[in-house]
Amino acid sequence: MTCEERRDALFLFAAEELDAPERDELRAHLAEGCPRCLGALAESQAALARLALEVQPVEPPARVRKALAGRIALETRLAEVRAAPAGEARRDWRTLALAAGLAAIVAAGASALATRARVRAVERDAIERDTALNVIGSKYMRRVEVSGPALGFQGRGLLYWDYHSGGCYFRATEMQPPEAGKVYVLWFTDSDGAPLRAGVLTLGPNHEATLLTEMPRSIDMTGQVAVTLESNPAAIAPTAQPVLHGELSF
Amino acid sequence: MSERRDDLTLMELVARRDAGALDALYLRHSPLVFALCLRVLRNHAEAEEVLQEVFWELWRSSGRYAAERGSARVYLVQLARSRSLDRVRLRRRRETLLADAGGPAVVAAELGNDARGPSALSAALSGEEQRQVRAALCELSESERRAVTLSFFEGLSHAEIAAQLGEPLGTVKTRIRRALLRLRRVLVGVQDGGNA
Repeated sequence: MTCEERRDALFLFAAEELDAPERDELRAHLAEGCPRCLGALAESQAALARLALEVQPVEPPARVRKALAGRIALETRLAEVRAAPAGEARRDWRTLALAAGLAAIVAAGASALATRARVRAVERDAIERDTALNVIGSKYMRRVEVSGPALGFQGRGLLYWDYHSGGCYFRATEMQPPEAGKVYVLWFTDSDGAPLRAGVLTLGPNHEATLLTEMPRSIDMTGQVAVTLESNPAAIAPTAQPVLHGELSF
Repeated sequence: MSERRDDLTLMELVARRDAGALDALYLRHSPLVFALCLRVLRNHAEAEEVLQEVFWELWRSSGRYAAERGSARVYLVQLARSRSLDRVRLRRRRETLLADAGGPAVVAAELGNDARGPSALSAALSGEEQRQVRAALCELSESERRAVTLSFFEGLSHAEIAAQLGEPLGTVKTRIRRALLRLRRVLVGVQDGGNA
């Protein structure tokens, strides 16, 4: 079959109207990178998309634009939080190494770095607090109690979920110090039970931990939230029974 | 600057994380994207969610857009149709599961939210382009138009269309193919709006 003869088939392929044998033949040809047929496919896809122009545009409600802007602002803030160094007690090794190395050379320079790190830590805390307040104050906020007594655990948690922006703020209190070599990890699971890691919960001196995160988009109306104790802080699936558990639902 | 070139600039800015550029694209194209979502989903709340998802996906994955494969508007429309049909298929699966479980089988579609209603924004769409699309659809017989509409806008499978129209599967299949190829002859070569 010549490329010219494939034109009709490409249009039907773009419309998902080809049967398996024809579809496979065409896929194999496209995989060879034929520029003429790839161009014709793009042309067909664009032509099919133009069918949508049959509909009359409808102005969407303003809340959609607002929610989109809120989601982008949340993402930006989370990126800022992640990019900024942790607080003084949690400063990462690179900052420490850099500060220590420079201190050996220029004490004044190290002092300036430490000051800058402290300022950034304060900024980070402020952003985190501000973002958490936005989530908690949202009219789309859902509050989920996450408890442990039934699981023989004294700690408890509250998840604040802004289901419009996807922002989540989790706060655990009265948490027992984790066993040596283990950390608390927060998880979500969707309605099919697939685990989705949210992040590590680092306990403060008052036995509390907070985490600002985003609800995975695969969680629609129902799901679960859980905390487990993990040996591997980077675990991608829980390996232990939850110590805290709650149900996400509307 | 033409709309397409302007869109291209905005898409480049979105790829560089310019939220203002995304907002400009939203203001320009959301009425068409929303109308398409409504047309496919026939549910206002779901259409709002998919509209937000489409622009969120554009924000998160703007690198996937390739200008040589079509305008930003065509890209958004393709995305909106695909995501809306995903929802329709998911909804059907849920309804089937509910029916199997003996629960309410069908959730009534929201009435009064039909995207085909009059809109003050209709003038914003390129009149000539819209006329050509309508002319292309008018080339089809009523039965062809109905079958293509059920397939393209409502995401029904051939078997579902055959059941809905009370016609043999083979007839429906042939009719859709014939109709699409007739549409191709009219639509391919119709320039995308704002190319000038």
